[in-house]
Amino acid sequence: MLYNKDLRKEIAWMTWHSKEGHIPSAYSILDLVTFLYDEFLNFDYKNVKSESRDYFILSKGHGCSALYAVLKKKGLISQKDLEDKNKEFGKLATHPDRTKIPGVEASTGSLGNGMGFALGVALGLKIKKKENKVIAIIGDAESNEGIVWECSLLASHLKLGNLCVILDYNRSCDPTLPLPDPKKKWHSFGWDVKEVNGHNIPEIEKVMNSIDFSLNSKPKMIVANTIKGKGVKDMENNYGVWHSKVPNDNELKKIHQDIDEYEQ
Amino acid sequence: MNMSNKVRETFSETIYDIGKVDKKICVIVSDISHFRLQKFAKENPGRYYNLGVCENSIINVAAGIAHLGFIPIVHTFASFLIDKSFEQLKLTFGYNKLPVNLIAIGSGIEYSFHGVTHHSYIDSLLFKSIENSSVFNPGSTYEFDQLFKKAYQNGKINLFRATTQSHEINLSKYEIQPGKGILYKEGTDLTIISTGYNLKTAVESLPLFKKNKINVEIIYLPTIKPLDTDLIIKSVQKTSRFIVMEHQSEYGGLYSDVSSLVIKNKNMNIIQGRSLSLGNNFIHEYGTFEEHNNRLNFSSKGLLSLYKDLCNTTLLSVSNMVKRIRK
Repeated sequence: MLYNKDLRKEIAWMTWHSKEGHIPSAYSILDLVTFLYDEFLNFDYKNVKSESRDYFILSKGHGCSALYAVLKKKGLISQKDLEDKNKEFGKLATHPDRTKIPGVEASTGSLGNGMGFALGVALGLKIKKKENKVIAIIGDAESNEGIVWECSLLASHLKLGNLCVILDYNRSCDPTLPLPDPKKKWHSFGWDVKEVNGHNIPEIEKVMNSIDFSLNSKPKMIVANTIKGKGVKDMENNYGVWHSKVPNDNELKKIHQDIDEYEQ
Repeated sequence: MNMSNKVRETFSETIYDIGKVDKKICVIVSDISHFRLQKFAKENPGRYYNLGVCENSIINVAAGIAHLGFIPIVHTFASFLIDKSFEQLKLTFGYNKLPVNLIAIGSGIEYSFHGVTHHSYIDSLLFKSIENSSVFNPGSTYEFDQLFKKAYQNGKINLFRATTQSHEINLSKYEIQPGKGILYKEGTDLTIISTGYNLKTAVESLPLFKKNKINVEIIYLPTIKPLDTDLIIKSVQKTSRFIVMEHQSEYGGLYSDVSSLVIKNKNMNIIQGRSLSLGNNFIHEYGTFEEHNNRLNFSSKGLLSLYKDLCNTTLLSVSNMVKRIRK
């Protein structure tokens, strides 16, 4: 089954309305982000700076339409904010800005930097002996960046057991610089590695709930097998064309229709 | 306080002092000065990390720590801390509006034997381009101690250069304040604007200038950003001529800042300036720091030569102005 159909439609709409965005990347991570905010993160939406909160960092910042849709569902972003996306004095743009959007921990967009930031948050919590969790989502193309591997070495060295990085393994970098066998790679870097279907909420729940976040354990890598453009067959089959394409009026209608009629 | 005047050798004492009273500071080094910082490390468990040579990631990790309310202090060579990690500094600290204190060694050509990879001609000019940044260039242990203790928790992204080359001039009678310069010597004919080590060269040039009947004013700037604009404007209004000394690129450095300041000031007469800097060339020669300075004219003779060039230009400017008026 296809989860989060309404949020998928909203992401297409906000991209159509704001005339910019990355729909397939957002669809790739949407089910993971939704699960995290609905079921997993300890997060007080009325007190987003609470010291007891878990931290979520979207390192692949260009997938932020998924985050915007979820934060709107949680009341941190308004319909007006979405309507003003990419406008001169709006809160939202094609990459997320922590100085404008409540609940966004890090401004991201330059790939690789968010993972290091997440490591720092995890280290800071460890110094404070606090048990808050830190979750980051990185992309497989993002893993072309050398700093991802510096961080992979560091997190293991620092025994950041409170850190869980989810790899959005949608294979979009296969035609350029692929990332074969990520499980083996991160395992060799000293991480606990698990695999999940990134569009199957019960499976995501099972895997995430099995994680031991104790402070001195190994950092966790979840290889989430995902589909770029998940929910719209034309995007799944032509994700390169749709990477940053803005749908026209007819395409928006077709996307909404495809989402409604989507079958596995 | 350690008696050495070389900041590289003594900055750890300042960190140690602060660590005794401020439990928010967290020190990260990139595999240098590890042994110097052990006193701090032993008394502050969990707040000292040697994270190896992955400078870009170290900056990002430090930003995450800052997000948790710590005040990070990151230390390594300027060329790796600033030049190599500029994007991380710009975005992860600058754009995210998080505070940090960077202690850089090897700015300019201090590590002369190491060659170009360990020089940085652009650290201050890159760094000062970031919003909310400050650049401190203390030329002695006393200045570093004063500046660091007064500025480390200002909420900004601060670069402190920890020099291995002290000017060896006792400034203890001056109160060192972030953003404030020192009028080291009053004069009427030329303003020499110096920072860090170069105060030594400026002071050493005084007998030669005196011999040539030139009364030099020396301004010393332990802070490069923000500039002590009042001090500079007042001085160059008086002397009409300035020379800026800096071991940085001519392009975008302190000379550019002073020139921009002078041009913007409406009350200025004709002001002429010159840069005694590293120009725009890689330094391929080796040898000692002193040998580099002699070759690059960071000397009394170099300063006097620039002054004479300034006077010729001034005469030419006045001559051109007279011709325009006659027409």
